[in-house]
Amino acid sequence: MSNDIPTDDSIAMATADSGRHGRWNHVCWVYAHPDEFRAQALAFLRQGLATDQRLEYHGSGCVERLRHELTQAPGFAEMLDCDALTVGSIDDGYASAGSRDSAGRVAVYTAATRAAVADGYTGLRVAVDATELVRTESQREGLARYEHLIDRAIVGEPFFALCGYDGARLGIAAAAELACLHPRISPQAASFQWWADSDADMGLCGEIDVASVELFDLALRRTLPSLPRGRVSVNAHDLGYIDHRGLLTLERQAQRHDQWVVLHTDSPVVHRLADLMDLHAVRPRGTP
Amino acid sequence: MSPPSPDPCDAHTVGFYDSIDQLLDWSVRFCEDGGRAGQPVLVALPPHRAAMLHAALEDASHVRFVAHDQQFANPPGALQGLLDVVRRHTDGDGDGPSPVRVLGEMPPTVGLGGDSWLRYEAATNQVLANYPLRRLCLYPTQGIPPALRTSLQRAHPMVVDVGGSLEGNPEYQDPATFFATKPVVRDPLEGQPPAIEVRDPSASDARQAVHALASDAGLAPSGVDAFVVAANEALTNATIHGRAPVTVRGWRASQRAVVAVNDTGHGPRDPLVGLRPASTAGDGNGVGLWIAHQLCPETALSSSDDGFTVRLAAGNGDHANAGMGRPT
Repeated sequence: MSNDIPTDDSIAMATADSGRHGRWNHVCWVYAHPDEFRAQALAFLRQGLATDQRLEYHGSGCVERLRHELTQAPGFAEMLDCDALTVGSIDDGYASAGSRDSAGRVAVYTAATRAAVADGYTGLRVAVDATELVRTESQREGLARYEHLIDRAIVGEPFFALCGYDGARLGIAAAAELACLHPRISPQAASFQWWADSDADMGLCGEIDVASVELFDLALRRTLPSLPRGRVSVNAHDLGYIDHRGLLTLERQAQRHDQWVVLHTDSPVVHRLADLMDLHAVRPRGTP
Repeated sequence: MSPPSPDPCDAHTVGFYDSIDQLLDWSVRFCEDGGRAGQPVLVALPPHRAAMLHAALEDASHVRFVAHDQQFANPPGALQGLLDVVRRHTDGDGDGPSPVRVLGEMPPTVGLGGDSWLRYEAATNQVLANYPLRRLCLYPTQGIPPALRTSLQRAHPMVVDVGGSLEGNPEYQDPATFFATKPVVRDPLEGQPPAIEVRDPSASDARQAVHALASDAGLAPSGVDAFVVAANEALTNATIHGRAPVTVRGWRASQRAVVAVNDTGHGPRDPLVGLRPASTAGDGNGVGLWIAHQLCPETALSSSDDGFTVRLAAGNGDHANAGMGRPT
């Protein structure tokens, strides 16, 4: 099995293929310093600028400071006073995207994306530093569900999101709880990724072993309830490694939610492990 | 099911044969004795030997030949196969247990496989105790190092004497004694400086190192992947159940790779870990080493002053033949 985690240290790389909506248009950046995220966010938004997308920039603190950050970069200052660019503080209500109304916030963004297109833009592009929304476990629980819902909602939509989390303030483990739910992440933000795939119900890549199986269990607990009962197809062609504990975790969580998982992978070892353990709710498919 | 006890584990016999004629002579006698006693016989011999035995038997109606490479694909699989035989013949028709005979030429185990098949032999004395099985395990005399032959003999309550008769084995050790005194089996490659040696690696880093080791040794990709999984399970076992530091060492030669995962703990309490069918329903303890044994038949476990070590080997390089010999 190969180790093929789609991480890049360049937002431009991460979102260059804007035609493949759904796989790469939901990016997570776990940063060590706010300046690092600001640089990534500006690069991310600049891509939207170049492709006539409506832009949004959100962070914590006062709006004036956020606006000032944008004016430091060329091309944004003249947009601040028109509807092409919105700057907002998550302190002013964005928190509803977290623990209280995930589905509502998803609906808002879905409508905003369509409105942007109706107004002549090619899509909606949002960069948000959500660190202050996930300081507690219950907040992370709520925002993780939101991340998953928005991830599924934007498959096929011209919506592009960059979610920033301060790894130094949250801790790497806490940030990984959110990062693992994105199809595109900053280097080492999470050892695996579990996202809404355009070719299956979900996608799974990276590595799942003794170091990450608890995080995998957490990700499944937070996402499987929102998926329908019965068959759940998973694109695991880019899955680098999963050990027997990972497969057992998937089996148990799928059974708990009355689901069975079709794991699309050509890895002979995954097929062999599933056979050895006589799994029922995890069914590898593909050419082993 | 309450296991009947007409035939205790002393019906587990080892025979070291010097020639094919001797192997066939003992096999024919074992099968014919079964026929006279009304006991079915299950035979797991390599195809050409099975054909020779079939031709030598006047009546083979009570003898069933099974695929040798499937029965002895790996130690836990072989143990499960025996348990399946027990269940079929003790639960099948509701007429109560009937003794079953099993004749097997042990696979051409090499290198560290000498340890896993040795533990398998001892484990059957415990797992199958009191079941109505009469087993004859055949090994070639040639090619088996004296120390390994001694250990194999200690794992069998009965032996075939020079005249072909079955007799009690004064060297036999019960499983507890056997596992407590079992010698450490090492691969000859371990005499060389290791190609990799890392302390307390992450599982990911260890997999990457083992993958490179096995690939550089020239193993087939499918063999490399299975070897990496086995090594990962050994490391995970050490990380969860062992005591730090955990050290991973690796050696390679052309078509041969060896990995040793050592922790400084005392090792698992259950000496049969990895061999006995493990349940995935509970806490999953034991499943990892059970998988390692399935994917890597050359798996050796040992406890010593250095702690607990899981040794894994894959490939059929020249170094592999230094352990248990191939049948003549």
